[in-house]
Amino acid sequence: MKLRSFAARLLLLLIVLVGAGLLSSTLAALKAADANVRALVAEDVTVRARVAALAMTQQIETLRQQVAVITGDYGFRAAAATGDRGTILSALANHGERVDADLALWITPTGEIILASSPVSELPASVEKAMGRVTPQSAGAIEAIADKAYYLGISPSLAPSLMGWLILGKTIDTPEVERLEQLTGAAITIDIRNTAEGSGGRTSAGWVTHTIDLGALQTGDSLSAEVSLSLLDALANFDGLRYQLIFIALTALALSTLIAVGAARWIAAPISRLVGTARAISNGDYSRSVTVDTGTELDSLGLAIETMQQAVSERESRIRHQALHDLLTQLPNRNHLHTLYNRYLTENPQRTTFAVALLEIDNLPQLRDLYGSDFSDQVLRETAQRLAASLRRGDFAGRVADQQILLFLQELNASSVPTVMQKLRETLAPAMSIDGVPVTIETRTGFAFSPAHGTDFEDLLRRSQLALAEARTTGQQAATYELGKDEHHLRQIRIAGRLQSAIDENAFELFYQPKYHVQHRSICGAEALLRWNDRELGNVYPDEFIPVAEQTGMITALSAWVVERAIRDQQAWRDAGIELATSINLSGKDVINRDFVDSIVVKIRDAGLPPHALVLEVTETSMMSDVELARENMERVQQLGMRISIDDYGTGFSSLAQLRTLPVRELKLDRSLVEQIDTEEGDRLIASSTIEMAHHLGLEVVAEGVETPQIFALLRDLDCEIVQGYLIAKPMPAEHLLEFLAKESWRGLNAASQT
Amino acid sequence: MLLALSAATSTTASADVTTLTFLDQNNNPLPWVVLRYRTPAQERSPRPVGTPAEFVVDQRNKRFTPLVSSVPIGATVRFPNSDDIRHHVYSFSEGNAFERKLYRADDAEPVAFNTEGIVAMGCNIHDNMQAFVLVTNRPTWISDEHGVITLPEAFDADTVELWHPLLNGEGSFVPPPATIGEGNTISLPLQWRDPQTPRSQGDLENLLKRFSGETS
Repeated sequence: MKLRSFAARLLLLLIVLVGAGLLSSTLAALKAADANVRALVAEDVTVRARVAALAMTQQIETLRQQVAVITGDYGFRAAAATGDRGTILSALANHGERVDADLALWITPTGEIILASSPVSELPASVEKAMGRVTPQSAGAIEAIADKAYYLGISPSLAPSLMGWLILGKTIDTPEVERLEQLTGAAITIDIRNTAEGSGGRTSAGWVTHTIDLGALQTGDSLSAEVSLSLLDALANFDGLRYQLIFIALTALALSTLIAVGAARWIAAPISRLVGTARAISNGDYSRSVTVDTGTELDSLGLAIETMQQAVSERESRIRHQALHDLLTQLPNRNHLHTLYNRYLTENPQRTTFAVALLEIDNLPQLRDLYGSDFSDQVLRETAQRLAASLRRGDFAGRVADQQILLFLQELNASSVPTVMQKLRETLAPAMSIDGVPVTIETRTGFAFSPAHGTDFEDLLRRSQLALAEARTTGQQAATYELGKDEHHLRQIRIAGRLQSAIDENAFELFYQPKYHVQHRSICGAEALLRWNDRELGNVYPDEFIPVAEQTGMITALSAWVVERAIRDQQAWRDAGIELATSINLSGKDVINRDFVDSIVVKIRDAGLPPHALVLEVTETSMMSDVELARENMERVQQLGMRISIDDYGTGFSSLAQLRTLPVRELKLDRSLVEQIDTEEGDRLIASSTIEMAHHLGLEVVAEGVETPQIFALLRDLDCEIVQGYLIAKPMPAEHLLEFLAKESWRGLNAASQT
Repeated sequence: MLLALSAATSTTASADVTTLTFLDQNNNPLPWVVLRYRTPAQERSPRPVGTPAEFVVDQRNKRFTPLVSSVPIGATVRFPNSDDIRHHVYSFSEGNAFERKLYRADDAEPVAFNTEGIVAMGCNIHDNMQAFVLVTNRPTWISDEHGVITLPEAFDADTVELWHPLLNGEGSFVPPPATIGEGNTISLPLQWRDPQTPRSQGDLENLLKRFSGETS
């Protein structure tokens, strides 16, 4: 679990600290007590062992005295003195039983064992030792004889000379061990070490043992007594203390936990108050008091948060204002204007009639160029102030573009335009004095009205922009949006939006319209024409999408597509054994795009086509935007062997003289010149002179829009080399072209037109 | 006083009772009870019936046999030793003290008891051996192993007195209870055991014999 709150962490820390302290002290106390108990037990065992040793020594001494008494007994001495074995035996048994002896030995002064109640083959060490003394005297001992431990009383029998040695022994058997255990209160084991593994001592961990070396008491080293105390018993006595210690520790822990909880809350309370405030601030609530009075650093933190709260509040209102307003004019910006508009609609659902006037300062760019942008900014600011001051209550205005201010005027309809214009003139006509320079601004205004032109803010804005554009185009001071204009505009926007996808989706197609060579009486080429059937927009005509493509910069991509497709179709025809030059229309943008022009050359070469397979058709106007660059590009193409054709000749204002400087081989008369050549005398004259002059310049002439045999006949008579139009064929898909050529339907054209 | 205990269930002494059975406090037959007439003045033969002419206290298996015997004053008692070990018979009884040291077989010289009384004797080297010789001229009877004494005439409690090794040691005789119990029994307040029973089972002696090459 993750401890999220400071109080919880503090609490945990306190409890851990107290717990660790208690644990260590309790453990130390327990350990000390345990060690103490062990030490006490060890000491106790030593004392008890001493008692046991003393008790055993007393037993030995008693037995020694008893044996001494028996050997001093007259009857015993008399019996011994008889030398009669049976008698001595019975006396030995009799006197031995007087002292409850378990062992009796009768030994000659020379150490020969005469009588023994135990299978002894040699003298016990203690006996030997006693006999070794210069003056025979009694002795006590403890020794193992025939695998049994005995207290031994050893005494010479003197009558008065030494008759023999009487040794009586008492087994240190279970009753004796029990007696010793009772006496000492300890567990005692007699261990005969010189025998096989005989130790039954309490050697396990639960016992504390003190070993008495019984050999050290008298003689021999074969015996020991192990005096043991149960450590568990001793520790069990200590259990009470242990439980008491643990109980005290737990109680202390519980108490300190309670205290820690209190302390943690006490310390953390101001913090959680500050956290609450900070959270409120982050939620945009700046009204909370941040006063904390703890006398600690938290007070400073509280003050800091309070200061921060004020600063954040101020900064936020400033930022909000900046976000919603234009910094220069302090008018609402476009987004805020939208909001204000929506708010107006919500608050005034019944007042749906109003005007949207988009005002543009026409001469602002000139003023900027003349006096600098500071100056123009001041002009804009002054204009905004005047407009804002002139607004009625409920009207509002905002800056929507660099030099455009949108006015939202209530309860006005189309008939109010003159009134509004009068008011605007009054407001803006008086000359401004900027930096001492008198300035008069020129404005145009586009109007749109709700509900007639829509109720949506964006619709109204766009339509007012269209109206403004109309005013600009027509040179009027004001224009009102006309229904339908916006639809054309919107379609253009949609076309722009679809163009790239259409290229990607291969929605374009190339149609070919054959060109007929009048003198040769054959089809000499075909013009490639773009068709676009869009899945969203339906049929889109080149008149619609070519300008859009030029404006949006898509034209080069489109032209490139055309080039590629035309080359592919060329290859297909050549494979079928047909050689036709394909005319491709280039845009003005393409003509001055050197990279694009070069790419055409590369593509033709890569496709393995001869340069004359393509004819590039360019309009006279397209050549005019940058004549030098266009001519340079065209010359390069021409030098490679490609033919350049001037398209739509007769619609522009260029002179043939100008054309002379261009690397052009072909002139295409515009259909507007050709269509009425048979009825309009003037048109016939223009066509006639144009063809004649073209011929003088060495150009071939192509006539477009040839639809009737009459027109065909006229053109033939004017020596026009090539005709193109419905009379010969409509534009057709590439694959139909082969079929068309096979039919040779143009045969007889010259003859039929023979009038 | 001691003998009054058995009186509660007894009937008055019958004049024609001549056979008495002595019992200990557990109603077991009580041998070695000595019954003696109080006065020698009564016309009796100086010697009880069946009294042998020669008095012998034998020693067998480290026991005196018999345990109790009665001899006239001045009688001579022989102490033959039937064991293969020596015995050392002695007595410190007043007037009749004697000692026969560690003799074998019939080596000991007979002892004459000239003083009336109870002679308690033992063996110097065998503590369990005991024997008692009553030196008296009054008519005396000793109960057999069934505790039975057969008198030549009717029992009269007033004229007799009793003694037993476990009753009073070397002390004096006591009067019998005034009445006798059913079946002519007389109960004495003591528990019968053989005074010559060894202190132990003879373990030490057996061990000595075993490990010293002796045979018992």
